[in-house]
Amino acid sequence: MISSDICIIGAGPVGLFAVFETGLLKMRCHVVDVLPQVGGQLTEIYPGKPIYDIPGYPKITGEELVGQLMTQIAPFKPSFTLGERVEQVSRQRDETFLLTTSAGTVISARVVVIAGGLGCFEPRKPVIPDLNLYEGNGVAYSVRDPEVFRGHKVVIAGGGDSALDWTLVLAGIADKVTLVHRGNTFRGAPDTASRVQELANAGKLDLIIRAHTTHLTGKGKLNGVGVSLHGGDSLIIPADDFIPLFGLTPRLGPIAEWGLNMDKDAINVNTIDYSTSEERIYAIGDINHYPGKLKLILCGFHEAALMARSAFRFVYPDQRINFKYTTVYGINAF
Amino acid sequence: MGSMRSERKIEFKAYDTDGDWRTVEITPDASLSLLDVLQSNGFDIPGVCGGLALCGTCLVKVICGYEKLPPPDDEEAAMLEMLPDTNPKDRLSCQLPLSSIMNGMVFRLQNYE
Ligand SMILES: Cc1cc2nc3c(=O)[nH]c(=O)nc-3n(C[C@H](O)[C@H](O)[C@H](O)COP(=O)(O)OP(=O)(O)OC[C@H]3O[C@@H](n4cnc5c(N)ncnc54)[C@H](O)[C@@H]3O)c2cc1C
Ligand code: FES
Repeated sequence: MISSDICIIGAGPVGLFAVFETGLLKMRCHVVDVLPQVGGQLTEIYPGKPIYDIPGYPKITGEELVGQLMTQIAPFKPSFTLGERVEQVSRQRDETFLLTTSAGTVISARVVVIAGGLGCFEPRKPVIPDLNLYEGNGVAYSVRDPEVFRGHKVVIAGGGDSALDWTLVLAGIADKVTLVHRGNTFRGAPDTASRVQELANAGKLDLIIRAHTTHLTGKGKLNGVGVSLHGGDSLIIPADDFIPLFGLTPRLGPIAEWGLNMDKDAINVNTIDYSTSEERIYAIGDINHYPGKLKLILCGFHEAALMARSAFRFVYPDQRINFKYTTVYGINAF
Repeated sequence: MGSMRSERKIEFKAYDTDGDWRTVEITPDASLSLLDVLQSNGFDIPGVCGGLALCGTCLVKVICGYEKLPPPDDEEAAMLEMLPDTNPKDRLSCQLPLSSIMNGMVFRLQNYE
């Protein structure tokens, strides 16, 4: 079990900066995100886009800002669980919380900070009958260990970078790879697209363009993927695995089930300290709601600072905070 | 005066994902997108990336008048291709400036799946 003063749900910019603000007050953080990388919307949706309203940076890209935040919080040695979704938050008798992730990781913390943004980034799923019945039985939305597909017949659907990248990787491992793409051109990285085309010309993979997947066959375990060609024909491709790769989109996810006072998809907070309706649980950044809320990075940063001062009394009940500027006190690394 | 203003107004119709519909009457303004107008008229449409053609959550199906719209540019086409279940008459509402060609058009919000 992982144990920490604070567990932060969400490694977006606001969750990351919360590590800094709580670190200044000697509180240690563990951060969990369902994405395999930190940065939330900045790395997942707009890594290369410039942001113009971060104080002190006339212009900075999403990716650069996340890099700077990681440098800024490094002295406070946060620990991370990435690629796992927090499913449950349960309050214990001793007033600590146990958080359980989708992979069964358990984290114990005195304070929970929900910095869940627009929710969990989850795969976009095509509308195919019974798709969910095959999840884990031949249908996967990401590739964690390519070796799992060794000797398999794999059908990949999608036309973006990740579909092209995994087609290339799996072409060297699987028995057969078929890429099904709706368009007739690829808009992903041109190099990758032309390598996929070359391998297709050489017969090392099957490329089916102007087509879409319609249904799955098999009894419990996948054995084929139905494809409809836009010319009018249809066929069934024998398959052990079907990997639809259409990118990720945020969805609220488990946060809705934690008994918090919510306003549609956002958590209502008290603006004194961004606490929720549950003591010791805070919500900061895009996930919270209060009169006048603006979904901006700088607003989330401000919320993190106020949250940290309030959370201090739960982590150090016998101590009082002396407010000191960082210019005076410096950064006291852990 | 008042009547001159109203002459320039356009009217289009939009269905939400439950199938309920409303007509929207508005003066064309190219600085607004169809997404902006749908949102300000109370339609529940996310538009997560705020109009950068990066999220696909502003997808609408153009039920009537599709052929009047200029074709999608590269960025919009790339995003449309990324989405798993778009059909040929789907557009990103954030990429459609509010213009007089929308008069009489009909849109349907697509499920944000
Ligand atoms: C295209 C675009 C442009 C933008 N431009 C600007 C701008 O110029 N200026 C500005 O200030 N803001 C801008 N924003 C908004 C800004 O990105 C958000 O305000 C900011 O990302 C919010 O940060 P956050 O940390 O609250 O949430 P997010 O960045 O959304 O991060 C939340 C993280 O929590 C994770 N998560 C949620 N639930 C769980 C769970 N149960 N278990 C595990 N992980 C979970 C999610 O996977 C996600 O990674 C822009 C947004 C977009 C999409
Ligand atoms: S609002 Fe994101 S693509 Fe239109």
